[in-house]
Amino acid sequence: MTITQIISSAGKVIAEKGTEEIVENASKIYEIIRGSYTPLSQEIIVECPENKQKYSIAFEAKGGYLPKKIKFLNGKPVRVNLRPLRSGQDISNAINLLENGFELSTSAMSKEDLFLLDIEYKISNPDYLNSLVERNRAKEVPKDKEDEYWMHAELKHPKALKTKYGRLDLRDIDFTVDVGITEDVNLIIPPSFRTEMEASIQVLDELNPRDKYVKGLWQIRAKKTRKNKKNIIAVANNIQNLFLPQKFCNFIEVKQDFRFMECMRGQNYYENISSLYLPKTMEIVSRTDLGLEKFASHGVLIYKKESLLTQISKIIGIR
Amino acid sequence: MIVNSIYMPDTCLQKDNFPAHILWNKNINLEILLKIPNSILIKEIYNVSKGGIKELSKGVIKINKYDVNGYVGFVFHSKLLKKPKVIENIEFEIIDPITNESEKFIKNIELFRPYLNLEKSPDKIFVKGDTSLNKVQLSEKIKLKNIGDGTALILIDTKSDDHFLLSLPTGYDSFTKRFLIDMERKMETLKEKFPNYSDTIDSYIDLLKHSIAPDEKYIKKIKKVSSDLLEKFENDKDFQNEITSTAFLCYIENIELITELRSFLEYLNSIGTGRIILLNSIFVIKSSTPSGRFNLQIQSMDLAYNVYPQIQIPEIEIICDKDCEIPIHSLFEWN
Repeated sequence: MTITQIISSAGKVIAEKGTEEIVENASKIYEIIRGSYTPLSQEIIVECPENKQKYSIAFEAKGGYLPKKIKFLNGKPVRVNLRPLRSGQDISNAINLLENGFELSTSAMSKEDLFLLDIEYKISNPDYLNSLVERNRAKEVPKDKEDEYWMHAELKHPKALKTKYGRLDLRDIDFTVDVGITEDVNLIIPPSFRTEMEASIQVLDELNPRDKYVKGLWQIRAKKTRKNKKNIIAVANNIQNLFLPQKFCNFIEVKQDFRFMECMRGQNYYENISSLYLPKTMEIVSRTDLGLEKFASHGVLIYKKESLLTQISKIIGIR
Repeated sequence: MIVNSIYMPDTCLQKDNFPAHILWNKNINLEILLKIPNSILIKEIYNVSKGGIKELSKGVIKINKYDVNGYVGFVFHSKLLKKPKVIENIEFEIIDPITNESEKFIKNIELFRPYLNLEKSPDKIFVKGDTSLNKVQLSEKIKLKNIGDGTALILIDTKSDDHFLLSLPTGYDSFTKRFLIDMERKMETLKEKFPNYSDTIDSYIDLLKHSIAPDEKYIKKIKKVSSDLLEKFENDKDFQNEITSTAFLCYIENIELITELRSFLEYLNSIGTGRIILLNSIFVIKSSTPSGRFNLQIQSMDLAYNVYPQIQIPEIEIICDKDCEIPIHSLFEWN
């Protein structure tokens, strides 16, 4: 590959075409509004997780003749919202969704006011976002470093976001980082607890009363090594509960240009189905925004390993 | 200070991508001189206009024209290096062509990977079976250590004289069968809800249905399915939530008291100290004769699914005092 070939044009056509489609929708609405009102400001936002475009236009009504209905027939929107900014009255009945668009009933709107109209459309090409944004993240962190995973998002083709109908921003770009937890779980769980688990399985499995007794003694001996005398199944369940999203999020902190969104059990495609009791990784979803005022974002995801390990030790009864 | 921000991460797995960017005042035109070492390749440069880039010499690049002024983005790719841990640096020199003012920024990056070292391999292992406790005791173990910083995902395969076969343990898999049947059924419903992702769902189910195999074909399949799903998940939150919750629901609905403990133990057995994950830890070596010889091969990859050369373990003689199943994880010690 020569050096000039490195300049990335991959996805440029999709990016430009996608923006063209978004801007076309916005421009049609702008022109129709301009026919009856005075447009003041506008913005276009791509809401990334839902793959939607949201066009917002503020306009002023200054009285005078208005048609009873104003139709916008450029495709059915996902949602339309109209708010009067001065009077604050409820004018939800001013909007009617049609088969191929929507209409405004001007009779339900005040003759003199400022309005904010938000219209959301589905983006037709699912690859639009990928053609615009490059996403990279740390797949893991070296052993001797703190558990801080870097995240980075940058625009591939910022020129494709330049439009004559105002700013086009990308909002809530999803970012998934897999936080590895196996090493920590393995280190904190003592061999005696494994032995107890092995013995408990055998006791549950055994039908012969004499052998059940022998295995039971083995299990009791192993259990004596921990302070907490709770049933091993309850202990195992309590450990598993730490990896429920609402609990595990306490061990995560997201900093800089990204914000924490949610966490869930990691999908590790290399895993044995038989070892699914605990996840090998936790999947952390963070979000960031990009646009012509923000070409790139970087952030850090901190995994508070020590706190998690302390919790596990307490549950087992080794601390 | 001409530059508003210059970013490059400080760690990355070898043979993986890492990004960088430079941001500056949109009203200033800048030239950027980039010096990169042999171990790093440039994969992509974003926002540079045609004719705006020139290679001055090997590893030295000048950039001076941008589609939108104020930003340039990079994606670099690290080569696989001999040493498991190497610190490299990339030099970014920012020049204001009008004032000739310049500033150099040197960004370091630690390129790391797993590195498996076979520290001890016994010629002979005596296996003592404890029938009352369903356990085996091994006289010696194979010592395998990961001296690199990256996680090693390993698969063990055997070549033996037919008397020692690698297989799933007796009584295994009633849970697995139920889980898979349930998953397949529930995923069919998801295919109706997400018809565009029908192929992705099929590949995912296919991967789950085929038991872990120690070969490159299997590894390639994992890589393809995982990157495909990650891309779809990041672009469609609904799809991600449905897949994740369906898998967990199938697990919860099919698990029994005893499988809970087995599954937990299996989880622990699959982890070796020093960032080793044994992918086929559930497998056992079954013997049809009290003694025999076998060869083990270790296939390994990292978390970016880069495959490393196979490690051959010299032939081992196994002598069992009775018929038994030797769990594959019990053959190893990791420290």
